[in-house]
Amino acid sequence: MSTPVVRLAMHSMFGRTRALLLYALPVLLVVLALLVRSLGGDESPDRAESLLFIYGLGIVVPVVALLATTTLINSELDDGSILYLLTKPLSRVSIVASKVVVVLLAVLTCGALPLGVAGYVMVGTADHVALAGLAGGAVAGVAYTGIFTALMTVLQRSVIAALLYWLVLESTLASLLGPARWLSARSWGSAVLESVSTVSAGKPDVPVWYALLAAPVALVAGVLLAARRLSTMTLSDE
Amino acid sequence: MNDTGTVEPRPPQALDPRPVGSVLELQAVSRWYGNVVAVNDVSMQIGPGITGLLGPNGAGKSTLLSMMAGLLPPSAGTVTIDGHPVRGDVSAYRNIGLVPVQEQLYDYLTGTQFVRLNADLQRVPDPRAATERAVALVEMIDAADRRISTYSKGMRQRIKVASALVHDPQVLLLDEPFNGMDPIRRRQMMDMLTRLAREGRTIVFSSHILEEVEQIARQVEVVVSGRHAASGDFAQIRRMMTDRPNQYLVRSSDNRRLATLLLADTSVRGVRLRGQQALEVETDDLGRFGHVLPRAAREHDIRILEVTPTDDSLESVFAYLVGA
Repeated sequence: MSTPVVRLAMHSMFGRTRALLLYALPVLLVVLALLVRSLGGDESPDRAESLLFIYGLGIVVPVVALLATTTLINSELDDGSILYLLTKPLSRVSIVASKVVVVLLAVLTCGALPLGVAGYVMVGTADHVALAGLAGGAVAGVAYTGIFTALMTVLQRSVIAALLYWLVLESTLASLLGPARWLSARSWGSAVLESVSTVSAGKPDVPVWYALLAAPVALVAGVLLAARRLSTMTLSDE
Repeated sequence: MNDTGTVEPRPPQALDPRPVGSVLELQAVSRWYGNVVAVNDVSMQIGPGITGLLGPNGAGKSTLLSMMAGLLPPSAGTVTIDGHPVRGDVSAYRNIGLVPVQEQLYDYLTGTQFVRLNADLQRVPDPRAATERAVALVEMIDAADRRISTYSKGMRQRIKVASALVHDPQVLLLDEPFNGMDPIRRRQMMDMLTRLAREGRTIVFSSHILEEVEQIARQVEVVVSGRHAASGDFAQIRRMMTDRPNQYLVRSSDNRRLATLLLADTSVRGVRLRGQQALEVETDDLGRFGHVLPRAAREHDIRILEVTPTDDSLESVFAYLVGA
């Protein structure tokens, strides 16, 4: 990894007003969590888990990952500013890895961590809901980072490809076709969430061991594919 | 000039009085994307001094520069700097400075921060001093602490050059560096590049504007449709371009009579009446034709209503060179 690239990425990610977008959804999650807590009752753990699953894993984590990868990878490829990094004595893998580390930091702090905070706000430490939200969010965040990085670089930097993955494969196909869940970062996150939480005793969509393995593999594959794509960049490649 | 109409590359020492410097060499370089050939069997040797890479839009200049900068692997052939392949060894970038055409920089940084970033990425021994030196070189000290987002086009261009020079490379590659610059800034940039070339650097810049290349480049490489159309010093290239047949559309008060008069002169290769409205004239000697036409009109009391070049676009000049 390259320290100057990480420093630049940190500035780009957190030092600009667009960072406010990253904070909007997690803030809303915590607000909803406060609302759930105010409702009280015996169903609180169920409601808490549902909120973390539907809004947390379903929206907050993928949207934060999408915003973060767009900020650090897609926009620099689109406007060509990444050429200033590519023409330096740094390997392509090192450049991508440095950026992905910062994307991951954003996803974990603005995606996974708020799930844990929201869980704690709703039910404290009961039923391990907070821990489950944190762990599930982290696994899904790692996976989304790798998948979006790959899709945005390999498929002509397409944000649309990332959106199709999220909206079509995950939100539609995965609920209709069981095997599609094996390719779904959300399913991997929810498998971990459900295994840590003691609220529901349902069977996860995919085995936990698979989710724990698939997420880092997706991350590494995303870095390598993106680095490979960057190795054939041209000056007019806007 | 060889029998294919190109001029053999000038040996590096002939380009600059200082023999020290890097030599960028392309040997039988081609690049294709599927069935599309972007660059076709190009060989050239570029030594210290300023070399203009001239060609119309879409000719393959950016692809060539991308390969010179090691960004893109050639599909065939080799690109070397001082005998070392540019591609595959990122340490080659210690000797290369690149100024891309894209205006987008890291706009949220100040000029100083941007140049310093490049110094840090190049791991220069004293990045702070190198940054100050590079910023001073492009005369941007006053604006260096402003955000790049507030810079004009010319200022962006200069800070890009500073970032490319911060590690003191021997080879500087610039993609369309004068794009959108006003005449004053263009002149300043040209003076700066000339100064850098005098220091022994190998500078290559691409352009589709003949006059830009003419003003600073001593060596010109012409690329058309991915092919190396011509190579040599500017005088030779200019001669090839001006010696080509030129076509004009002429409207006058007596087209038929004017046609007869023009055909009598050796500078005119052919004249064709376009109905009763105009003449199409082809000339081999533009300078002489410029005198013959008004003289003939004046002496025979013919009024010239319009003279329009019909093939004066740069594309037609390039097309002629390809066929040369």
